[in-house]
Amino acid sequence: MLINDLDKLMEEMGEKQQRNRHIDPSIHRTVGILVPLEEECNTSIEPCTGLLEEYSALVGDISEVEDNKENDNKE
Amino acid sequence: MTTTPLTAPIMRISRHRLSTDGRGVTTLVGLHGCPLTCRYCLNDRCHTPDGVWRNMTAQELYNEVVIDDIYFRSTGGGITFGGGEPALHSTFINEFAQRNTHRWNITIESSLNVPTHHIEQLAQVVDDYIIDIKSINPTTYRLYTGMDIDLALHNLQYLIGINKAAHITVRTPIIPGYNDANEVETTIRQLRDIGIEHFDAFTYHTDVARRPQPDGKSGKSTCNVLKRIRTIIADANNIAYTPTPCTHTTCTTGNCPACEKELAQLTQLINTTKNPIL
Repeated sequence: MLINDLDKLMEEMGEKQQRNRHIDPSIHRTVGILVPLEEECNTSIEPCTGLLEEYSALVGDISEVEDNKENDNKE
Repeated sequence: MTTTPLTAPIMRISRHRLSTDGRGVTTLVGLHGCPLTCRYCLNDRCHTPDGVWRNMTAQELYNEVVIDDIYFRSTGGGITFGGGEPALHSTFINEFAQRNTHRWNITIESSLNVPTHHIEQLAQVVDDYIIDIKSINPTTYRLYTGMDIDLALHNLQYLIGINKAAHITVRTPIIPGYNDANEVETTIRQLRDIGIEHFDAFTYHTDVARRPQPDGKSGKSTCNVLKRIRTIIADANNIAYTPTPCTHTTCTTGNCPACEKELAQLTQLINTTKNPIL
């Protein structure tokens, strides 16, 4: 194989691409963007939990989810 | 007696994915249908019954994706079957693999939440597995996907049992409202204990304001990388080749007409070369 490590080649070229993924709000029931964990959530879960309110507005009541999370923690 | 050729419902064929869905340059083939109903479904069209797919035979699919043969072979890339849940189409993927005479890498992106006979059939032809396990916590999994996790874990254990662990990458997302970093850590630890070595950890974000706007840069980046690959192939095979400067500033897929023309010409020369180096 001529190019064993495409990632390395792209890094050398300065062309390494972000792995972000987009969800089109017009065709999906929820809206979201995926970003690499190390960029956004490596030290705290705050960036994620801070979005709960907006998430709730998008998909409805999440109290059941939270209740189950509490139960899991108790276990 | 004639038999109807097997077809699969293909929602999308996405070329020139660079190390995002498997090794090397890959073409992502999105198959329709999925047993899960994930709250953050990345491709909700896979659930709709409105014919957003093309029914293709394995040969028709091969004929369409072979255009990138020299990219696949020179980078260790190939075809990634996604969806939807591609494992539901295991017979089709096997038929496609029979046509894969150039030994392109075959990757599958799957939840593994399908009857085990599909996984047994796929294990004969799939090189790499990207497993969307979501969460190993049964409560979280059911709340998020609408299904029980047992079958997915059984199939994962099956793959590990036939020595596929080194070829498996498990995606472990933080999903707002469903799990957190601690639970992801627990999931990763438990999966390591059963032999999984590779993980892809990231976060689902719901902040619309942070959504990056397309600027054509990623397409141009793909274009630049593909040019470099063509140059490396040409040099290795003593083929005179100078990339044409690309003026397609709004390219979003890296397959501008100039690139496609050069790819076709280079492919023709490689195919007429005795023992080409790829």
